[in-house]
Amino acid sequence: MAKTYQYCVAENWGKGFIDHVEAIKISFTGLPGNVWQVPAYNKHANLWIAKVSGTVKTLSEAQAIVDAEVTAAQTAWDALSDEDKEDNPRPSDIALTE
Amino acid sequence: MATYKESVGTAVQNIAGDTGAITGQLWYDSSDSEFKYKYQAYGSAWITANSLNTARNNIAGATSGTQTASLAFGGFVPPHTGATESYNGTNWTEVNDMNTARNNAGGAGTQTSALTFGGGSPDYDSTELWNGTNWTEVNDLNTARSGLGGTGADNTAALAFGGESSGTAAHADTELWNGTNWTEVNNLNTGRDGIASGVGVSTAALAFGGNSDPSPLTELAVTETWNGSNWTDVADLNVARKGLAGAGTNTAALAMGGRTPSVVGTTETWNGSIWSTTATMNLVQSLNSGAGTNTAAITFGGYDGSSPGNVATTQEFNAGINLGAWYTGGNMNTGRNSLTGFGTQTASLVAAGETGSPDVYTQKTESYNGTTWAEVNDLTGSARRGAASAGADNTSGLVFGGNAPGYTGITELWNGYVWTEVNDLNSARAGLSGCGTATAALAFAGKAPALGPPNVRAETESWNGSNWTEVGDLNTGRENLSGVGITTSALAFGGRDPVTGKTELWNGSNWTEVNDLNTARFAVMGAGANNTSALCFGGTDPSRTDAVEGWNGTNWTSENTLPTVTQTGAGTGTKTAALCMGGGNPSTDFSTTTFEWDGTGFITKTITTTTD
Repeated sequence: MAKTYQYCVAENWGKGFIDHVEAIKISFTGLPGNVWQVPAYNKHANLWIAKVSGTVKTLSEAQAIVDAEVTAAQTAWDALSDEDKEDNPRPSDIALTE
Repeated sequence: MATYKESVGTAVQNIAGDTGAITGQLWYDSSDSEFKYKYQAYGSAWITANSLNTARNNIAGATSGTQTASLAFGGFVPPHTGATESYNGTNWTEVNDMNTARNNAGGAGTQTSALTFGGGSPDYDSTELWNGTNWTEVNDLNTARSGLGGTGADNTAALAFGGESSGTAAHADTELWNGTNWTEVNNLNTGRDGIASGVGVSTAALAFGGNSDPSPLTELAVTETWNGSNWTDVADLNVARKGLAGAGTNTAALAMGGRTPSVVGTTETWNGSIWSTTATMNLVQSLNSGAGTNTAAITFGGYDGSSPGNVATTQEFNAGINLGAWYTGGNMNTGRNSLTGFGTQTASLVAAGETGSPDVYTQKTESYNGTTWAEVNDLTGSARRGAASAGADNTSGLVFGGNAPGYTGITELWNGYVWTEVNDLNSARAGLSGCGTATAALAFAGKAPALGPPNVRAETESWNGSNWTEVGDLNTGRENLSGVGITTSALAFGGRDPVTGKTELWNGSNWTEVNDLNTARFAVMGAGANNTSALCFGGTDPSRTDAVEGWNGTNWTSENTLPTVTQTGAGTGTKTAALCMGGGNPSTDFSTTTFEWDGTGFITKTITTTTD
């Protein structure tokens, strides 16, 4: 089946990481572990991954990174005080799709 | 004699940067030594409009109605209803009921010339004709059924297709109405009920989605096009579903909502060959009805998946509107959540916040110039989180309240260089919101357990440059809301407890409740100039969200989402040029990230040139 999304790991360096034109042309979803979900088979997304020197990940590789980050965040959340828990929702599991 | 412009054309203007360049213009940017071109990007969005008077599912409608002239009839309240309502683009008005109360019926026609047929329960074959004032019984369908699809230009020419009758498999039967009688014509290729209505006319229609019946009951993506004689299979919907609504023609249609079996807000647009997903509805709806075109549609009523879940919701879809976008700005030096900020997209200040867990608070202040953040002098009072602020830009502002820990009313004034402590708020609190300037500000809402129940507050205070004075309360007390504007024209939205989408408008004297956010949430961020122009982004609903909504003075409209879900950050700027700073996101609870928003949809492209 044709893929809808592709994944890469790239650290947001700030200004210019996602520029205005890219924001218009590409649908970005930032995930734990600096994993970014962008459209598959998309010229603009492919150019963006190259621009940010992103490391392309398969679905299972991206899922493993996200799972590890979410598990760590859930463990940290469980140790919070009740007041802090009120202010911050417990990180949810994230199921990636391709 | 010909002018230079007539002979040679318009000269390419020389502009340093892009200030003053207009859409469609080609110019030479002397700052970058590049030729540039500006164009307008367009997109699609849903707006939540005024609700029906009667909430109901399995509602029918005048399928050739428009976004500004629609008719809704029948449905299940419970019980079955014959209630009919007319929409003028702003409000629904109750008009005369149908003779036979029914739900899951077919519909066709316009606001002034409509037809309804079939429905349940039991399964009806009866047909009624609407002349703009009254319903009149006319000749019956040949096959009694409910859950059928229907369409037609007016009450003289309609098509009925599919549906179900108790104890039988889903129908493929199609019938044609000539203004007097129904005639059986060629069947659908795939019999089904829960089929979409409302696309096309009796000589050129589209049937899509639905439910196979009997078991296994399966949601269908099947699409068929009618040419006046036969149904032909064409490309499937991307998302199989039943109980959805439709609008448009058989060459330009829109599929809205439905059940997969979960109730969804999925929207797909049909170009005559394929379906493509487009902007998701603000609120999920199934068993709804629709009208309009695939660029200006309306959907109303239905079921949202909750219990009992019958809704009066009306939503309008528009294509070809200015498309805003978020892109990354400079990273802050200190990652934090529960910070506060004021200013513009190119001149903002942030202060305070939580930088670590548990309860590590900061006095740090940073200033943004549109590109980079610079650390400047710290707050003089205690490190704190959950404060609010007001200020025109990064040279002048006010920070007030917060949790240090312990709720405080401390107020500090920023002169562009240092903070000076000034008079406290009357009510110490945290999780409040503020707006205005260093000399004329508002502080409202927040949490203040010391004041006794309720913990969340509605108090509003006004700052005149020297002192805080209590003024009119919000109608709904809350904390972790957002607010924008000035002391004579402000807007408050979102917050908790409980989690709310309530929006209130301040006119300089009083708060008035207006239309809610489409997504109720707290820990939300905002930007805006006054109570007619605002942007709401991120927050918790109760999961962190990337949802963005724009306020036009009357309604909230969905906008392009943030690149990452974000809560408890700070927002500054305006509806068309905003900043989202820090907060918690999936990678960290103490983010340094800045996102910049351009709501104009203008894109500047550099025209690449090569030289030998």
